[in-house]
Amino acid sequence: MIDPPLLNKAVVPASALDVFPTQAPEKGMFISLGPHHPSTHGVLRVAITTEGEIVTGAQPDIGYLHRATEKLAEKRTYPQIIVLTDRLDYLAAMTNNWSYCLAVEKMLNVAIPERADYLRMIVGELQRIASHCVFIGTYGIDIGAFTPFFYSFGRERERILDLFEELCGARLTYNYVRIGGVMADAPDGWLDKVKVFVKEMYAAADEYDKLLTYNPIFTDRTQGIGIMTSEVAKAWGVTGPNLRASGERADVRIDDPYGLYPRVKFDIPIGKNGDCWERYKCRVDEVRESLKIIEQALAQIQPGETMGKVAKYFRVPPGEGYGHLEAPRGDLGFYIISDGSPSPYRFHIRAPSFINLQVLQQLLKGWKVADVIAILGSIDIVLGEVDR
Amino acid sequence: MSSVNILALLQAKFPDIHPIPQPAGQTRGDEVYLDVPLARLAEAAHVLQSDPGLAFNFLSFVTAVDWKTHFETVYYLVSTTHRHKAVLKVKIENRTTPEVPTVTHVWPSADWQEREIWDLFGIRITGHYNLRRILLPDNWEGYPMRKDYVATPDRYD
Repeated sequence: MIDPPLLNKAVVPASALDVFPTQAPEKGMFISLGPHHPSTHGVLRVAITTEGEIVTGAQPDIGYLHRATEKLAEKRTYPQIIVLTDRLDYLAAMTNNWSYCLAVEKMLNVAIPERADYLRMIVGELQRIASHCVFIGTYGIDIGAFTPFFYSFGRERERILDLFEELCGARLTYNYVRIGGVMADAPDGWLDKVKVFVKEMYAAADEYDKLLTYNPIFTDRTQGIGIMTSEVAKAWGVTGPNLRASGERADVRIDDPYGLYPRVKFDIPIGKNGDCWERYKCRVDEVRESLKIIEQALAQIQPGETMGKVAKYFRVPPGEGYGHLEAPRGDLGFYIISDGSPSPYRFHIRAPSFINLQVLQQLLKGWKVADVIAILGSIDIVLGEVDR
Repeated sequence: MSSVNILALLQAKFPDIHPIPQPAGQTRGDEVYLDVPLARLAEAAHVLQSDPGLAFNFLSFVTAVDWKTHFETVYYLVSTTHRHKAVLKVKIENRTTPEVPTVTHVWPSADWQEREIWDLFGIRITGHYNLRRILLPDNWEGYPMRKDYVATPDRYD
């Protein structure tokens, strides 16, 4: 039998991982988890081989939601691509828009008006809270707690979506952050509504702690399960809360600041062991930090322009650019190569969900079948981004 | 560390690795762009990761570009200890049977991204332990991200 904690301390060389299993090993069982399993959060299939109750090999099988976004982008103009980015990580479309615009703005070398940058920061952090609310709710369901879902998903996230709807007319695919600024200024009284929401959200975050975080049934299922050391996480390219839970203080907002993040003060919650519970806890703490950022942004924002000087029809000078930011799921980047034509020559997405998911091949090994869902859920993937 | 130092450290071991100058009118970040010959990639990757002065311990992403005459693979490296970044570019002249060595031995995070390159560009990753299509079905014909790919018309076309 494999000792799980020992196994996940070191990086298993790729050659020692197994290739895709299609049948049961000599001694053991073959389990096909998904693609239509309620806990896979979409259409993901994991081919698992087991020996008794212990997982001996796992290979995620992806591609069920592949829509060829990178190829589609080669046939569209730069502003048209923003709507494609909405559909990648559909739980965090604002940050997708923003990351793409950062890359194009870098290539165009345009200045962003200050108010637009503050609005981006406010919606970006609201989006992070909304996305983490989905995680908190669905992770509770994965473990067997149904009630937190109605609180985080049905109550707080819904309020954020209402705010977004008032701001840009859409609830999921916003197309709000545009190249050079934002689509429109906030409507009258919107910022006050955000202020009220922020105040109430602090109380809601404490409520999640009471309901779920320190719930003994929940901690029993998650603490000490799916341990990922920071070496393993870094080697596999894991970013975002998953990496920070392993004790690494890595955040694009600090390491490679963008927007107006240098003007606000906030902490980066980190974990120690990198188990499922800490990956969850990091996200709950991040909600509070995002609230702090929004409060400061609301205090600093001044009236002004919301769109920079960008021509209606423009061509990006030949060359290449890379823009990235801290999306709720990690380091989301867009690598664009322009040949001077109205559409990009090459458009590559550094999708955090896709890259975070590969670690599952190593992470699941040695744990019990009952822990598979707890570990898979704690990685927090969105299949729209995995398959692109 | 500054880009000059990265270059000096690397060129001491690999004199044939050259920086790619920034084209006029283009804005870039603070990354160093390096032109790595195909034959040198495997060795260079190892040095970039293990040399304490370079310590590129994080491979952010790997991708490929079809330049019509040749292919190119791009590796975006980050050092979390020194906080510097580098972009490696490897030119693959052979267009009929393009091949590039794997870097999964050095950075496991290249695993799926290299499979994606094989899947969408048809660049064979030599030495990869599990080179199968990842996003497309196993029986898909052709490599869609190539510029000369002609999509099979379906009932909507």
